[in-house]
Amino acid sequence: MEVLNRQEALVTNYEVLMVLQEEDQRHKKTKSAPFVKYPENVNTLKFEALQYLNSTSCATQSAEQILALKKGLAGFDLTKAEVLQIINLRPKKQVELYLIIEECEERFESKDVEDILRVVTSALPRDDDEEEDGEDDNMEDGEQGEDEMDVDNS
Amino acid sequence: MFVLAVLRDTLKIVPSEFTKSREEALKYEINRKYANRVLHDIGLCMMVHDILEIDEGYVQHSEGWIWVKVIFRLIVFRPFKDEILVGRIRSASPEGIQVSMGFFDDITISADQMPVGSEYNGTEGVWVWRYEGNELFMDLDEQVRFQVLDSAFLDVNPPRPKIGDVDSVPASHPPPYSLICTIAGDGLGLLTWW
Repeated sequence: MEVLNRQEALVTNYEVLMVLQEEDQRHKKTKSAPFVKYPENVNTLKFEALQYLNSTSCATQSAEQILALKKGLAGFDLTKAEVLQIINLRPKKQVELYLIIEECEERFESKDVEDILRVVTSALPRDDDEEEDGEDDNMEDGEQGEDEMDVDNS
Repeated sequence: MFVLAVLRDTLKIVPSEFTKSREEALKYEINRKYANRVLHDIGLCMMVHDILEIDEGYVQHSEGWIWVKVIFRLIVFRPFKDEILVGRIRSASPEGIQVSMGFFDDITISADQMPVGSEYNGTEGVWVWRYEGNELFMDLDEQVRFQVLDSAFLDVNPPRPKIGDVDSVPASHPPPYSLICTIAGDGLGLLTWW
């Protein structure tokens, strides 16, 4: 074995999920053949990784949505890694975006941050959005006021 | 979180795989060989992404299978420094907490990377963050958002029993790949906090 390139590209969680699902389909097709042994390590990894990825926001994404999001974010001066993390983590609140974007306060106005969040929620819609927002309203927010990071419930 | 690595390898296709197309058979073989294994300095191998080059293959004298030289791209789990990830708390101890992402377990958040004002609660067996009079418990199996500080690869050889002590098999091996992470900072920690 020889490593030709340690890192050719970064891939989104969505792309990994697609590959895993494809493998899962292939596995299901061959399951009926009794003499075919399915390798244990592939099975374990496939099961655990599918379980993890299906619990994240990439489960409801599609290629068109991600392209639309990338287009929407093109106007902002974000690095590749930051865009990748926005796709993977789908930040909904300012505090999450501040974590992903390095030196966010210096690079972006708070208006830009709000715009980015708006682009994210419109490009990657999820059914459970309102439900979760409702929970946030009920939660006691002990940290309010600190760091001037208003929790964005829009 | 995931990257593509380009690898070259010589793989064998056994006769039972001859019914499949060459590409299918190779993908099967690549996954069998690499999936769920850690390659030193590369990361945790997931699945083959695609195959770039396949040579025509050759059969060696007295063997019944084909050797094929192949160049392929592999999906590898190797988060970059400062990346934000989400996992679940697997265990807690006075030294810190261990986080699992399901397919990857060797994530450590040491005691000094906890939010300021945190301490280990020995009776409950969990960490507690005291913040403005509130006690925020970090219960096991809670979802936690953390930031990668560093990663460590350890060249682990297959465990060999030492001569003389046949019975004592080392209970736990050091992980070949582990992540050192932090939850000290705004937005980090349990998802329910923010």
